[in-house]
Amino acid sequence: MRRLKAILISVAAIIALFLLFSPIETKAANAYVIDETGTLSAQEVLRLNSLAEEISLRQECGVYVIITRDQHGYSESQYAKGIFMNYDCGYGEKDGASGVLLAIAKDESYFDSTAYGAAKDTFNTSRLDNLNALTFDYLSNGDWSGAVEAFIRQCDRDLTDSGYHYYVPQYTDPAIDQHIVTTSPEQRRKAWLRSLPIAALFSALISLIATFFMKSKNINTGIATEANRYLVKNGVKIRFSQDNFINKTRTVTTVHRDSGGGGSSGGGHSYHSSGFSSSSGGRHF
Amino acid sequence: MAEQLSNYQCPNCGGPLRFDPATQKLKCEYCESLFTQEEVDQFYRAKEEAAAAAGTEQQWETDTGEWSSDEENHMRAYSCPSCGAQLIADENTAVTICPYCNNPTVVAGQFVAKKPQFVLPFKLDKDQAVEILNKFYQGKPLLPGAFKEHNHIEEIKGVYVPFWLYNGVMEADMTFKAERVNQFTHGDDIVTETSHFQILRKGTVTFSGVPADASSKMPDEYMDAIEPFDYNELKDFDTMYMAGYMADSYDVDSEQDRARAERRMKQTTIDQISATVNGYTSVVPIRSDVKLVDGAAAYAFLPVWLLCTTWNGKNYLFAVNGQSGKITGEMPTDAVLFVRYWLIITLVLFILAGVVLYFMGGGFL
Repeated sequence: MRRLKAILISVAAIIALFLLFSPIETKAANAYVIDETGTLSAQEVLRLNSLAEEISLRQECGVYVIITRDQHGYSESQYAKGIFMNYDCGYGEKDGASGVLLAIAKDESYFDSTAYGAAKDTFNTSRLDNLNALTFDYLSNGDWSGAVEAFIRQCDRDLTDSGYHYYVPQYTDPAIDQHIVTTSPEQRRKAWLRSLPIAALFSALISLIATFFMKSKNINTGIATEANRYLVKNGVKIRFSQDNFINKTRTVTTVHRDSGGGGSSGGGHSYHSSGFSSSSGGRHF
Repeated sequence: MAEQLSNYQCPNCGGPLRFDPATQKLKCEYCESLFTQEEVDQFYRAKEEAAAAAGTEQQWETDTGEWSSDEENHMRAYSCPSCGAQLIADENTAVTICPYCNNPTVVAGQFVAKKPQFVLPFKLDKDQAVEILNKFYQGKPLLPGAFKEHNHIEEIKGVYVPFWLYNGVMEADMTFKAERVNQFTHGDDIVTETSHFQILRKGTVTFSGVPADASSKMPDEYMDAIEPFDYNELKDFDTMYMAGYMADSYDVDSEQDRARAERRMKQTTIDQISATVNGYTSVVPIRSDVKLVDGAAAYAFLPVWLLCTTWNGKNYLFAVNGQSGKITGEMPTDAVLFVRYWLIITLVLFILAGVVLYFMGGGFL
């Protein structure tokens, strides 16, 4: 009874740890326009999201607008990039994600735009500056819905005008982007909290192994399986020894060396030291 | 040996003599005089003229023998109605508690024990054995505190445990499959050449003194765990070494016990023959025919300090090699302590992991 009680308390403690540190946040799939502040009405979000989704799929380039309460702890120069990475933006798989983002921190009246992946070829600093200028006009007049729509439609025009096509770039230093992800205190806190249940599980398992090891020290009996120490000196005598060669097999593996050319249709690879392009700087409105 | 020797009375004061492990001599409990067996032998030989001609010297050419009537007269047999142990001791050694099951109602039994060929005298005395047992309790955080407190450590008993010591020659005929891999680069190709071999080995492996306890009451895993015994100190059996100790009669004969020793010898034979196959990338034994071709067993008493204690209705046995001091035993685990340690370690690891993850930059998700 006492043992059962102890086991039940342990199980309850582990379950409590899991509940305490259950995952905090998940991001909805196919979200192109996200408003965490409630500035846009639900209908506006729905309409603008449909517009952004249509353009994104047609152009094969994700077009995003994300309105956050604050800058999530990012510096102004890293804000848009951090939001892009942490909201899993981009058309295509993670390594080949391509997209452009307008990030607005409402409480700080700050916004900036950035582009990632293949979209970087279209949305260079100049175009991003133009997008920022366009957005500024709307935001400074309090027209949030207009700002978002104008940004999305201008992105569509820029993509068409620049002859954009989707491809998977090769990065020489993807760690730069990883660094951006981890520089946000807010994101770091969330990632940390998400990791804690797994840490608790592993701690419990390792602890269980350690405790069983401690228990095993209470028993040191064991059946002997060999008699090595009772071998007579020079007691091993080989009377017959024969090594017969049977056959030889040969396996040839051809090494395919990458010539470095070719790749995506319609164009060659582009090499980037990092995935992002940036505007000259975000703006306060 | 003169027949009076088995009385082990002090030539000086007539008090009982006991074998003293520290000096390896017979010691008088009253006047603390020390005697070698030869000295005692000589004393009685001079005193007893008729006995000198009696010629009771034993020749031990077989694995077991019979006790002389004199030896039998001065030995006592006991049996445990609880576990069935058949114990013998010299007449001066009182057997009141079964060393195997802690049963206090040991009764006098019929003397049917076989005489061993060899005996390995105790080297450790009781105090040393108790000290070893006390040390064994240390560093066991899950051991219930009450177990140590209620453990009657003073009741540790010196017991000569019956053993069969097997000498044998194992003959092995083994076949192996072996591969030798050679890898090299040729242009853009990586070429892997694997040569296949069939390896044949035949040979013999000789063993001496593979022990197997001959008592069905003694758990095999205990006696295997307190090996090895140093056979260089084996003596021809003499009742002198029994003074102050008890012995268990064997109830597993050499044929019944043989399988244990053969299993160990077979494994070592396979290992030794396999070790002669060298120079290959991989070696897999595909056939092994290993059998005993020549074997003999000697009957010996080996020294073991035993403590059997009861806790929460269950018997716990500890055995200490009376020669080397190696100890073995099974101790209970406190379930509450187990859970407490588990939770504490979990908590500590969790906090450590949390701190490390935080400084790593937020974890791994």
